[in-house]
Amino acid sequence: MDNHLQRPTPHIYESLDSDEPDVSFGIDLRKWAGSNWKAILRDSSNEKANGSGKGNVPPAFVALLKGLEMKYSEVPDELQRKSWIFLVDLRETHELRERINDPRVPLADMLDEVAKFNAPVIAATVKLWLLELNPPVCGYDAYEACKTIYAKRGDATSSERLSSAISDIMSRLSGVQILILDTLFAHLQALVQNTKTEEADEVFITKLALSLGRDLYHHRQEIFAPLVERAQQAIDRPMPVRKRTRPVDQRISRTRLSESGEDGVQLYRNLQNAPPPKETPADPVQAINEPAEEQEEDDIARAVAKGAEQASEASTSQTEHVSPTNNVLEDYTNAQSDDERTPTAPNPSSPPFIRAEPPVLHAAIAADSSSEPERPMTPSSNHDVAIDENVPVTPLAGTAGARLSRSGRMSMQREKTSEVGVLADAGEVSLKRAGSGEARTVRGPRGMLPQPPLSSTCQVCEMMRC
Amino acid sequence: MPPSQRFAQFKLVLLGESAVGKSSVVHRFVKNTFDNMRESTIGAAFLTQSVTLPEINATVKFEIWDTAGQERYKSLAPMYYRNAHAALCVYDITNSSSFQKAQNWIKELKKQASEGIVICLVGNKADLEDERQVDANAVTAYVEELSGEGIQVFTEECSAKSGEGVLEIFTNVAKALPVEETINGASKPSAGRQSGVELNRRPQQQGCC
Repeated sequence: MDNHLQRPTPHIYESLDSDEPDVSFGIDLRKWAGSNWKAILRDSSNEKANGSGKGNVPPAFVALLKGLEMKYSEVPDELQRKSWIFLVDLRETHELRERINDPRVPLADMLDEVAKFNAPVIAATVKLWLLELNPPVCGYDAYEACKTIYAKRGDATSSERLSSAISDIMSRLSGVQILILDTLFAHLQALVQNTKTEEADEVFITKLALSLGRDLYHHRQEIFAPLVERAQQAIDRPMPVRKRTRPVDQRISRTRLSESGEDGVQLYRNLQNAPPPKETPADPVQAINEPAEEQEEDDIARAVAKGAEQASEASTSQTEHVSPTNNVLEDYTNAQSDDERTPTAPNPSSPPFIRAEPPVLHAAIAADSSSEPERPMTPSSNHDVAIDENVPVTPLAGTAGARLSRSGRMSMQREKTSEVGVLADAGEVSLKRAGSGEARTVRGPRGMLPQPPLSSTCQVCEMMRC
Repeated sequence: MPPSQRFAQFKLVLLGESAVGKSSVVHRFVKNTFDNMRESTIGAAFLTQSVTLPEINATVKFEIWDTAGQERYKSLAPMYYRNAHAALCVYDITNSSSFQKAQNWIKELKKQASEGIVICLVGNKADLEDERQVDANAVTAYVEELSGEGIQVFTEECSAKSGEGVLEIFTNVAKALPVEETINGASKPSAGRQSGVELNRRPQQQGCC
């Protein structure tokens, strides 16, 4: 039996937002705030729109204070103040407690019930509600700290120090705790300010302080103002959005190269402004042997201009024999958007064996290209496509593609193509290597020789749009 | 004189450690029911029930304040045992620490409560005799010790689950209360009787300040 008693007991997990209290008295404010938060979010359309902040304080507490305010109008000033001082029979207090103890009762019905009682009973029930909170309204930590502070309290000169100490404690409270205290002391301050009696305010406050916090009353404005603002912000925080937790390949996609950085923009500007080059195009083999990231910007610009010129000539000269049906790249080009269709026109420099590419690979490429996200037509995207067209297609193109695919980033789907490229790199399947190289040439960004935006110049494109 | 006119009302409070069965005892007495799963009391609960004393042809009505036993609510207890005529300090016979807590409550009552308060030390869960941890002889010895100090406490055991001994406890408390004096001195109510108020009376007339 003794061994049984000495066993450690498990700490039971208590969720703050799943256990909705079925009572109004003796609630755990943190849990209430957790469940109420969801309710606020559910009703955010009709509550927050009003800006009333309704729902941030338990309805029973709101009903009691509102009921008190209604009752104040029925009695003279002196009795209004004394409502908080009178000793009230516990049976009446508990009767009111029972009537508003169901949190499912609407606030209006609670107010009706509260209105049946006298102001002193309502005030006593407010105190009872605060007393029965479990944990206390300030929590256990603050309770101990308050005990320490008030044990040291002495003359009135220490009031300022006390105020700062209380501010410090209050700043550690949660939102709902601050709002409840602020609501209560705002009510009491309004009561004292709106009622004039022979009794000095200080005397009344001292009497009030026998059951309620004196310093919170005196320094309400400076203590509560920033805290309430903070609490309101905390409560009005937006609903957390479900975040993507699935791993996402964040490597730079070749298709997005021109969108992602200034390089693309720069390329486009060069494309627009560059004068016609006088030199011959760069040696394709040399271009391939140089990794893309090692190329100088000037070289790129030059290449862009050159490629633009070439593409322009090619598109105009081959317009008549270009047919979407006699080209094995048709599958691919159909999958592209209109703007990207033109660059797929057969390149005269492409070796014939590329067109004998295995259909499996084509299907994969077509699927790949069709899965590309639709993007707005931007100069950079056009440029992106244009870059690809003029990459010389040689068996070595796959090599370059493989290399680039390792150094640059690509989408997950394109990994398959990359693998083919890697295989080709190893010299295992020459046909695939060529095919994969061609595939990248057609749609990949790796090509260093871009073309001008064909959407405005290419006749094929215009024809297709018709 | 008809029995209905021989009527006395007393305030009774239940104190004790959490989960000893205070609420179960009260519900057995008031409603003659027992729930295996009962929610922990928050603050306090208020119930009333009457006991007839045929010997003196009187009816005793109990205003029962069933307090929460959790430590959190310990500070609220004085509010409820103030002006009480009778107190049941309940312990669990299968839990020795609850008996210690009940002894502490008795000490506090003698210090803080009304002068002539009737205190009954109640051992609940008597149906769990196999798991008993609180020896009946130890309880008797403790009561005798209190008697030597001039504190009159009587002890009972009951089982809220089976209902055994519950009614007897309240009946014995009623017998120990000054029923005759209260009935005869109705025009001159005792200190405890003053806790009741007329609902129609303006509340400021009861004020302390």
